[in-house]
Amino acid sequence: MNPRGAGESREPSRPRRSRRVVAAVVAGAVTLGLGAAAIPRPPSLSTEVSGDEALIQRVRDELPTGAFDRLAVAVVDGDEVARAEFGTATGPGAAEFEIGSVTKTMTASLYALALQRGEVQRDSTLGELLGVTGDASSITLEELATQHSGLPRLPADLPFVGRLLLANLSGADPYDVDVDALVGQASRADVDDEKAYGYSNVGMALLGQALAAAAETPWEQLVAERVAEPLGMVDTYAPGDPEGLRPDAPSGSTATGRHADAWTMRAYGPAGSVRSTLDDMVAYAVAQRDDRAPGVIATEPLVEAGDGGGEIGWAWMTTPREDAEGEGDEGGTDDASGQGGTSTWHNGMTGGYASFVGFDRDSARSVVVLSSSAVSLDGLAFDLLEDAS
Amino acid sequence: MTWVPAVVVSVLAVVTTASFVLSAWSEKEARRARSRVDLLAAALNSAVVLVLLHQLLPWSSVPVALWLVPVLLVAGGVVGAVLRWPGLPWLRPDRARWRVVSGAAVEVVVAIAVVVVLVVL
Repeated sequence: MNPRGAGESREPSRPRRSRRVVAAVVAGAVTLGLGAAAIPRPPSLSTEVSGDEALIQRVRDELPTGAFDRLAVAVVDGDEVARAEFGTATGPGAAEFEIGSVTKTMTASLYALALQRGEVQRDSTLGELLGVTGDASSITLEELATQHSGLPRLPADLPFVGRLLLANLSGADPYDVDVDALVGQASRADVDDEKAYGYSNVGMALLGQALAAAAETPWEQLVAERVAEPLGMVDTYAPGDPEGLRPDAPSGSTATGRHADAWTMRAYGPAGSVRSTLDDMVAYAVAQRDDRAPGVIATEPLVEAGDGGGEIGWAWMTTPREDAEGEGDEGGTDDASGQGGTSTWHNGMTGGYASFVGFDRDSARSVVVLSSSAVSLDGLAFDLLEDAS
Repeated sequence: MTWVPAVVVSVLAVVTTASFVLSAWSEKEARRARSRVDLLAAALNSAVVLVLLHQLLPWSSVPVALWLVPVLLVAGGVVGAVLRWPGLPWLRPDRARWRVVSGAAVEVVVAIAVVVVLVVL
């Protein structure tokens, strides 16, 4: 091949030709250098490792494919806590994680507490508390808390779909509406008349904002005062918006290793915006397991959650342990060795984080998994939760 | 990103960067660039697919050395483009100026959009 096509120009003089060749080689070398400098550097699991050797090894062995960076796992048996930390996750200077939809369990706790305080009733409606109109106006808080509201999983309006698509590419937080806009979305929403189980971020956001309206207190403040402070969770907070993030709040990465912005979620905060640390989430999970968390009644299963045999309380999911399935003769939850039982749990995922909090009261085990990468670790979490001896 | 879009982006990157090399080096009338704007457009397309590749491929699951394949192709294209540049007119004589300008404008807008969405935002 020749870089000059037929009839393009006359032949240059020899010195000019030489200068051009040198310029071409330099340009090619610069391009190559810039390309090499920009070589992708996906995050890799932090080499700053501490904790229980056996658990660390198990986490390494069971980690799925993905771009991991910081990862914190805790398994609590009774009072004994085993940790596996990749990157600083506990103690002074611990870096926080987004807990994603585990936040819904805190909104559920707030619902239980609001009922106790008489601020709301189970049959209080979105129309009464938030001024929602249309089909959604008659949805009750109880339906929202048990994910039986008939609302869609995500807002169905075109602007949100556009933001979601853009966010998938850019790593931005797709939830940027205020409470008025959320109420508008709810008022325009199509509500499924059957109101079967249907996981809904819209529903849980509305529940949180309805509780805030009833208490005349921002939902973020309710989380701080009624859930975090009573359990001493000093590093747990809901930012509300990007300005509410603490200084040096870290961000995570997508499953492919790209940067993901912090999800503060604005009015959708009650569905997934809380940030926390391993210490705090261990305290939270153990308090739920030991029946002493504020609003712990939220963990009690109330209704079926789909066809998988699971149940849901207020946000908390309850599923029979896999090792007990088909072995018991009364509901399949107790086998001959006494290994049966149920796992009560919630998982979470944002643009750059994945999380899991669960416990089994029969085995007195709690498990917390927090990762700064949007790769689900539910498999690892359930394995850890269900192999309690 | 699942594997299907990742493969699509990878194939797109190789095809686009190889096209740039051909437009700079080929003697065949159908493949070679016939104006400086053609060369610039091919270079811009290559830069855009490099950005797509860099941002969208699951690099934690793919050998990062593969990144150098399209980079080498682009570098080869740049060498050829610099050598060919003086002998080319700015615009193709067989194509209307408005068509060239509007086509180039669209390419620039697309390139800016890709960079803004994937890098800036």
